[in-house]
Amino acid sequence: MNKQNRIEIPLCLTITDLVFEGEKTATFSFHLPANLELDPIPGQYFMLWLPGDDEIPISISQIENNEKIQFTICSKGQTSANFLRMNKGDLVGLRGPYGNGFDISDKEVAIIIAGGMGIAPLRFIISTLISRTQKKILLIHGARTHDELFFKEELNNTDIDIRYCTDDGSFGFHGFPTIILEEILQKAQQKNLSHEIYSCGPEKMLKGILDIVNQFNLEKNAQFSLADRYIRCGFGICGSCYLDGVGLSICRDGPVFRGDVLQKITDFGSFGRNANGSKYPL
Amino acid sequence: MTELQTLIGTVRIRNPIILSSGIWGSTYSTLNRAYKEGFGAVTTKSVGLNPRKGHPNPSVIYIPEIKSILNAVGLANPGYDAFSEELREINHEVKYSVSIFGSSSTEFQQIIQHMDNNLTGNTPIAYELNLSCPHAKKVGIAVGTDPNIVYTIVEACKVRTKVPIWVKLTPNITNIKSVAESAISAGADAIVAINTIKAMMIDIHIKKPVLGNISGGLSGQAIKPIGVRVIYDLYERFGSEIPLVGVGGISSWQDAIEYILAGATAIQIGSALIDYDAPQTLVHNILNGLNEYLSREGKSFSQLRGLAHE
Repeated sequence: MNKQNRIEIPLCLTITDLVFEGEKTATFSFHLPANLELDPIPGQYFMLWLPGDDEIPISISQIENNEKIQFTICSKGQTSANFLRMNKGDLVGLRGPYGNGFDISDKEVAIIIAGGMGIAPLRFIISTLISRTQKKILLIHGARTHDELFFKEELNNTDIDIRYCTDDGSFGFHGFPTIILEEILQKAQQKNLSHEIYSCGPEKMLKGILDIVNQFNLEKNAQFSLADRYIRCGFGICGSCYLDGVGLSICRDGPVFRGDVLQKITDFGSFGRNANGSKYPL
Repeated sequence: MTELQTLIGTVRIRNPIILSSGIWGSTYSTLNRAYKEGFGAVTTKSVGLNPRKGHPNPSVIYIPEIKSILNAVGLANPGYDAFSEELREINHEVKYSVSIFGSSSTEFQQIIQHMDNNLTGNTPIAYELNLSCPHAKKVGIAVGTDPNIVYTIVEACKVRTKVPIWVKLTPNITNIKSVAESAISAGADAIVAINTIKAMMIDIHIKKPVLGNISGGLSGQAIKPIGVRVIYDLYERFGSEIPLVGVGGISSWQDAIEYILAGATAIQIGSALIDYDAPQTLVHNILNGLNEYLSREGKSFSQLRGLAHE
């Protein structure tokens, strides 16, 4: 059993800061009570409750001193849209941290691939890798368009190498992050360095990444966050987010999975499930 | 090893521990996995006529102080048509029962008939009628507390199928025995008890109910003494003539034995899975504990049933 401390019953905290990253995306800050010692791991998530509305899973975007915690929310449904109408000082219920996060690993090079909102949980692993390891870090930062390359300035102020790409060519390479990844892995073959791959973004992109890392036999060294899927309970009981294949849950066994595990998940990259359990094509 | 094969009416399962409804059982892959990890049988999540997305979240809250879960999922399901397609994917060795809810006997009949027609390759061991969900309108508890309605529903299901009909009852009633009596006289093959107990939680800072549905049902360790009492009462009333499946707060072999001494033929487990990354450990712990207890007592499993009444 996971011995990590966790808030089980929603704890209502005030929004201490709210910063818009783009038109439909904002980062919310909260101060966790000091005595909780939650020690969240990058890739883990909280359930964020908007009283009177609904509760949604949101990956941790950053945490400082185990106290100031941040979540980046993009408006894509009714509840996330309502979150973006909140103000500093409003109350939000938090429970978590939940799920299986990213492993730091002992590999020499970290390749991080972000697609759109996928940068949010990866921002937390990047800061963790910078503060705790000497790894060479390479970020492939992709989005549909320039305005959706969130945290660009913040990440530019670090020492990591960044390659940008946009679907519409408005900034950086005109194309998908997977093309850059393939190029990098081909070049890396000539150098005798070990690699760990961290990725988060649309599931179609993650599927593309899995196909590429398979070609390089790196599936065991590739970690994927499937945080985009529907989650209800957060602790593996209700069955709403279980994946086809071997019967793993997103909320407890995931949201971070290694590539060799994802290979056994038969609906990965093709079907998701909504709140009533029906399948829908991705 | 003692023989733990269990007979529930005409249904034989490899051990008496069944995965309860509402936990895990939304997909074929979890039902397969739960069976593979050791359960004697598994129960699907309840299915109804039409797709339902359930109540808004929070809909499932764990309360660590009492090792219990408060839920108001609200019978989320994809509807019987899509769900029967899901169930067709279940591995053939898996013993499973299909939990069904409805608001009338014709709804139950329609679902059962469809399941019977679609699951011919791998027939369920039973249909478990959910006459006891406490947090959905017009179904569950709304039909499961009136002995006459219970009789009509069970009778209608019995004429429609050869698959055994198990009836899951609610403890949220003054006299559960009268409802059980209706179910049994209408032909129920087993009684499953108990479903969750009506409950709620209020956040003292925002001064509002926490569950999206305001109220829900409590499961887990806090309700075990209530479940044991219900099984004891049912056995007292009906003796060994009707199989009783005990459910409510079981998380150890001691809990399982308590239910069996009270009169249960088999038991179901759900909320206790929260403490385990895989059900395997929990199921094995209970089976091992049962075996050792039976060896110490020099009794067979079936001899244990209802001993607290002697």
